[in-house]
Amino acid sequence: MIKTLGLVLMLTVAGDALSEALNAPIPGAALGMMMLAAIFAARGSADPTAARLFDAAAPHFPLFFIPAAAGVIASAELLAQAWLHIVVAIVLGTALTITITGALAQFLLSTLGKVRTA
Amino acid sequence: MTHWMSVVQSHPLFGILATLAAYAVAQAAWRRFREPALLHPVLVATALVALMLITTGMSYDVYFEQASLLNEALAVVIVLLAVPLSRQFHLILNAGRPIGISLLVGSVVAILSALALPGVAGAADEVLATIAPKSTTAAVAVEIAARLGGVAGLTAVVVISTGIFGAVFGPAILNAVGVEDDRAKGFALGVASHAIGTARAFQISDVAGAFASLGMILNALLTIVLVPIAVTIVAL
Repeated sequence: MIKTLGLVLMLTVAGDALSEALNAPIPGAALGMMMLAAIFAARGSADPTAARLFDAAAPHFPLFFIPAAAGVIASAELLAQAWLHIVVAIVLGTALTITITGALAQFLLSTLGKVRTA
Repeated sequence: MTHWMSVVQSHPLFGILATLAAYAVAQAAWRRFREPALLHPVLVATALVALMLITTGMSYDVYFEQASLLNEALAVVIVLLAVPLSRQFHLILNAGRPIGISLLVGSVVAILSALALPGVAGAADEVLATIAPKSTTAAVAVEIAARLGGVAGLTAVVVISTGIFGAVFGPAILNAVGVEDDRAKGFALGVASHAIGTARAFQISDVAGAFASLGMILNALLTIVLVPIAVTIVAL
């Protein structure tokens, strides 16, 4: 457990360092995730201890972004100014994304799937 | 404020304690009412913390400082997303092309549909960066927004609302437009509404849930790359 936690923390720090060094627009944590995924891909599956760590934390992921979300009270001014943009993005944007992604995925999964089995 | 209260509030662990307490209450309430999407624990817990700050007059900056360990842990949580990604390796290998194309189109639509109105209206870059990553899982969206000069707190609330909207209305929308394939339903819910949509997809079927997790994770990765480009273009 300690070794795995150490590896995950090391990749988190390494990701930040890499992102900074490359001046990349990608957050360090995402680079860390890709490195960990590459390690898992190389060994064929996720390390069981890391999997247990994830499964223990996963139901409580929301807990970790409450401090950031509570910052909404500090952005009342921005909310007042941009609420219409936000509501339109949430309602129309999400409905459009679901429609296009779902219809396209259904079409491609059936046609490309058929091509392969034919 | 009495003396003991100020000691409690200025304790370096108070922020974490208050957050845990708010989350525990929100989750208990959510379970009690049979887990309705509209009462999502993040939304309720956030409201409780905000209420605590407003009623006690504690500044958000002090609270955030005290709760910073939770915020730092977000990065670790994102790294751990490699676990669910690795569980879907077989799906990627089996249906790589249809998934890849749907993902790319869905991700672009999610970002551009969020930026269309503020872009046309000439809204500030701050607004664009705050809204653009709305379909991505909150942990990643908050990082993207903060990096581009958006307001992370508002992004978190927008992301959660997007998830709730997709989970509540997504299945009906998919039925209305004739999407019947569970794989496609799940994938769309995951791409558009991240973890909250994925939880809903698992109620449809395990296949829908697996494709939703895949859509959520792949969209998080792609959004990280696409949002900075899209915001730069729209802001021009």
